[in-house]
Amino acid sequence: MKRWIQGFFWVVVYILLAAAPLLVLMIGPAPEGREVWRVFSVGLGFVGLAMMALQFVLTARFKVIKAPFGADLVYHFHRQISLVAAAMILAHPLILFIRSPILLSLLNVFTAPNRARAGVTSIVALILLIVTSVYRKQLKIEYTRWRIWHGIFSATAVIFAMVHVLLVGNYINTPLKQVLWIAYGTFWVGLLIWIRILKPIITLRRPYEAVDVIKERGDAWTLVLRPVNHKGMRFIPGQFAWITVWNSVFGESEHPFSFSSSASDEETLAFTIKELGDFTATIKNIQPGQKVYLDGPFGSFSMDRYPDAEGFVFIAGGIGITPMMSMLRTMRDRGDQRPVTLIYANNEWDDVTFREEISELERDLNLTLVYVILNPPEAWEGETGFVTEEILDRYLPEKRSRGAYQIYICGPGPMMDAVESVMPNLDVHMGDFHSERFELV
Amino acid sequence: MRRQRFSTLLAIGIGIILVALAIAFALLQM
Repeated sequence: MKRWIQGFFWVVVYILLAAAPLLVLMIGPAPEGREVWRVFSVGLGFVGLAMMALQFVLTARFKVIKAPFGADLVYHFHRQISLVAAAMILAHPLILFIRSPILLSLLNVFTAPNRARAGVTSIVALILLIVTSVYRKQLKIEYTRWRIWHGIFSATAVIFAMVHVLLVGNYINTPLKQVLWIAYGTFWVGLLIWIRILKPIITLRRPYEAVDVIKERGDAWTLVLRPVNHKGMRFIPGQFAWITVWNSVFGESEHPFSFSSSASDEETLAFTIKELGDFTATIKNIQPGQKVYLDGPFGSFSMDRYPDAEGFVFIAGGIGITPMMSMLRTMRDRGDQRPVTLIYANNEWDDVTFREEISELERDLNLTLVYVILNPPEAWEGETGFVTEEILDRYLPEKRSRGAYQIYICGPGPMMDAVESVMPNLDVHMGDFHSERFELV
Repeated sequence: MRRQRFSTLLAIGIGIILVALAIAFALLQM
């Protein structure tokens, strides 16, 4: 219940910040002789601009905002609300053009005044921003490069929209409004300084160094890190952190990965990363002693959020085992003997990451282990194919009353969708079902 | 999927509220 209140609180804060410019505009006398459509269009433009600025906050990794929702949901919201904001911003000139077609001449950047040029630049940057994000994969834009352009387009869109507001100047006509605009602008500039300058400096002052890079089954590598001259970070099992490696062949890049080590290990942290191209393929080149920077921990995908659970079910597909591995290792280190079922799907038996260690964990934990192999070897007697409703029904605990068992899933998107869609048929209460996705763009 | 649907509905709901506020703003400015 507390999470719902927190979530509701942040939604209200979002709406207030997005609508704040309208409140400022309401102060003092309204410009005279304006028709309602025009004022409405201006209102949409201002709200759209505030929403664009809010987009930076959504992806700025404020733990307090993400806690009630989960980081993947905040990113998904960032994506969906951007389309709403873009629609409102595009409606702003469109309504003006429809009401007075003569204004279409403002689109000619050679003859238009600077205020219109700024507006057009902002809109063009916004369109490029949306197209490159929604169609990134179809356009074959590599993730690291996309992130750089995403930053450039978004900053361009917001800055030129602000220039447009200032040059039009209709709504900064009284001292009080000027003060309020300056306060509102200072808030955003301060936030950007925190996100882009102060927070990275804090991260830089808390470096980690690579202790070991271990090859695992299934083209995965475990990166073991230890803090350099600081205490490191405490996480709860299932969480993730953003990793920055400098001097890698791709230069600076930053990516989210789940911890795979036990949360009880105070000396070192480990991440297990599958080679999937770009950054992930460079993990194996990291040398012992090399500096690595972490921002985290993040995420609400953890057994520790449900300390009263009678037991757990972990459903993993391929490298989706990493958060489960952290939870299993933590249970072992804590002597946690609650029943846990691990349903672990892979294409090939030889590619089952952590296969040997999971067998050892079976001895230490109250663990039921179910492998589901798509292309099983000869003489395989376990489950085969995909994780289906029948397989889940066979291995989920008999007792499926609300709150008894907590079910966690991490794996490829189609697998997570398929499993989630059959959960209601299996009498699983969706409040007991937890998933986290990393395919964000 | 369910979580993503939730965030999509949230985005649509917030969008509707903000457009309504913009309409209210336009009417109050008249």
